[in-house]
Amino acid sequence: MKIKRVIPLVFLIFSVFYLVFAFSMEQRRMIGDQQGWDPGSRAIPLGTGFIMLAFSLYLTFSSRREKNEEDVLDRETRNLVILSILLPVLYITVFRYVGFIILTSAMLFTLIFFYYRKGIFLSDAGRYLWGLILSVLLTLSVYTVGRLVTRFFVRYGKHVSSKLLSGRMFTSLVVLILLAVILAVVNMFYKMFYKRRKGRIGNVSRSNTNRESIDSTLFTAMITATAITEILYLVFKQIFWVSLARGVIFW
Amino acid sequence: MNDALVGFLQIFNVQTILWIAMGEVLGIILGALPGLTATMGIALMLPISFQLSDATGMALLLGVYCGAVSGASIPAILLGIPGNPNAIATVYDGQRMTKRGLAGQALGGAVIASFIGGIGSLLLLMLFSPLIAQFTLMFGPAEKASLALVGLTIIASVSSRNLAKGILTGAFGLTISLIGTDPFTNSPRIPFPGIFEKTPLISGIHLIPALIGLFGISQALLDVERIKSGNIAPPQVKIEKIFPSLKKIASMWRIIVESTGIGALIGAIPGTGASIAVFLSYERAKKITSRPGSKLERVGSGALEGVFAPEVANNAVTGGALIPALSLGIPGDAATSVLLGALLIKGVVPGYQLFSQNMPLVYSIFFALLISNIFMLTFQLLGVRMFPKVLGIPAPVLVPSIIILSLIGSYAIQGQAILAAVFDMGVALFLGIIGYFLKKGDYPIAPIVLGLILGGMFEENFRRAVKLARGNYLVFFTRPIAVAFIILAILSVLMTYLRNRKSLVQG
Repeated sequence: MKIKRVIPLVFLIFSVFYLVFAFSMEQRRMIGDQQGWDPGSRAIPLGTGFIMLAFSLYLTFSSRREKNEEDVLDRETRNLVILSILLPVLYITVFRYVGFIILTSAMLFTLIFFYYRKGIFLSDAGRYLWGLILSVLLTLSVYTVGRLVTRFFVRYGKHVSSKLLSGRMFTSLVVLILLAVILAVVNMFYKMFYKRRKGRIGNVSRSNTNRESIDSTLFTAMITATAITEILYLVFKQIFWVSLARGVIFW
Repeated sequence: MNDALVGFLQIFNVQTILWIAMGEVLGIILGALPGLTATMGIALMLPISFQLSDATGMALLLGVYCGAVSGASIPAILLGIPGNPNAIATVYDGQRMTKRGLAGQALGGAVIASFIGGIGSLLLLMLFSPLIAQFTLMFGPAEKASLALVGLTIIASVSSRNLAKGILTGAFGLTISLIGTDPFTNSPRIPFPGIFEKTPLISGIHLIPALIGLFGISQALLDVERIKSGNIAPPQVKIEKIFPSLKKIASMWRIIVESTGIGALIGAIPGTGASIAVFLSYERAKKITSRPGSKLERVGSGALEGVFAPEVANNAVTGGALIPALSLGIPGDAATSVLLGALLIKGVVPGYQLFSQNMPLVYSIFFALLISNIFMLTFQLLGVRMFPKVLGIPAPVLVPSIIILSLIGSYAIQGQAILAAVFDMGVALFLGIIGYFLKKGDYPIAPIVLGLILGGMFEENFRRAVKLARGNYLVFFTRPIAVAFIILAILSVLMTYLRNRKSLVQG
């Protein structure tokens, strides 16, 4: 069924349920309204319910006449869209239990990896899992270093009575610089490893090129996921003190 | 005078200036990336603005707004793809100028035009908003309820080619705004109250997660569909001369004045938005340049005049759209509806109350808009040579970043209460998915937001008006201002209906 026909139908069903709900609602009038002049708490919900019902009915019938120029998604794109919806659902469901750092890194890595691959392919499963584990480990390492450095500066700042050194902005800036350094070092090692491997293998076959492309995607996804997770942590938790769920992380 | 000084000090401090600068850069980048809009940028920055003081938070959002509106001209000129609908008309002459090797002048001209439009509309905002706010003193509950109705119907009629779709989504927004408790009796208004009474649903749907979902997540999901088609390669454009000569700018005075007027006026009419203003000003510029004896280059032939007109107009919309938002509480376009939401969340009520009790905040908004425009001019001119690189940010990195920022941004609003915060993430995602399917089905999103913002105002004033009139529902037709608003609401619906009918007959 085409989406332009489905939407008014969904609205139609919704408005019927909404009207049932509005009618079943207790009719209460504002305090001090003994005469009953207040239209009551049901008036506006009923009004909007009827408007929705009328217009969704009209659109249900008029959409049958509409020319349907539906842009049909190919299988890979459809899978990517489904992944982009399901993954956030999973993220929200387990957020409190697993925690911000691990989940954010894992979700970002997954999305970036499959977006770069332009589809979800079974043949990528093994490398994806490895990349996922490495990505979470890298993020956890950066987070741990960040926490240690922040604690050190907070204590040292208090010791020397310096508000600047123990301040949120300063510690966040230091961690941000550290993050850049760590990621630059990881990048350097990755490039060195590949140069050496290329030198060993010699001429590049097609399968090697493909593997190299997946590895490069894995690496980009890993680095980006780590960087974004840590930056979000710094902005929301360290600067604005938003209580991001820690989940399984106890340090 | 004292209020102006307080407003000045609220903005002219290192922290606020840095936030505006950051917002501006972010806005320019968001505006430059095709598919990302000013509205989405502001929505994504809402959680951060929420953590700042009223003035600084608004300044950050205004920075994003100005940056995103003018940044949209970059891909329009370099790639022929408008960053967002505000820059649709810039494509015609901007792209032709790039092909003629005048990309630098087109980009520089667009920035200067944006600055002129922004400052012109700021002056109009400073002049008219206090006057209109003064006028709102005459408003009672009946007038306020009919004003909310005008806001809803105008947005519903203008934001979609199909009137019924606009009204349907507007009513849907209203129903979402009614979730929670009754404003007068506090009795629960949620399905299965026995089950849901102890969940965060009882406090209703919060505006920020709703805005982030409807504008941020829905757009990100749509962008996923474009991932397979690959990224647009950044163009290899040589950028040489950037500044158009002063003589050239002075010769376009008429285009500048008319485009500023058109932009500010269209912006001030709720629900119209920049895309109408840019076409009107472009058409006017076409007429001006094609007059016999005109020394200006003909618009449409790759002329700077064709870049100037829409760019002046779309930035003039920014100040214009804030006029009804600040003075009446009715946003001029989708982006200002989010700005208005930011004000409401901070407990600031637009209208006469704002202008009489919180004048320093009003001044700080004016100053912030001024600084935003100055930063926009500076950053865009400094960054002209970097723009092709900005366009190269790959979608596989950008889209997940938007999704995660949307979720964490929604969470941050109630970040100290984890259960409520997780619920807000769910609201953002749920509405984001709804927004995605609605956009695919060609349904407008803006009426949902307006329904959410104006729903409370409409219900409270409607019930109060009827009660004060001793149960007389005809009270709305006995007060002249309310009648005028109702006529305006009917006219907006009728005009859209007739226009749609005409275009249907013409095929």
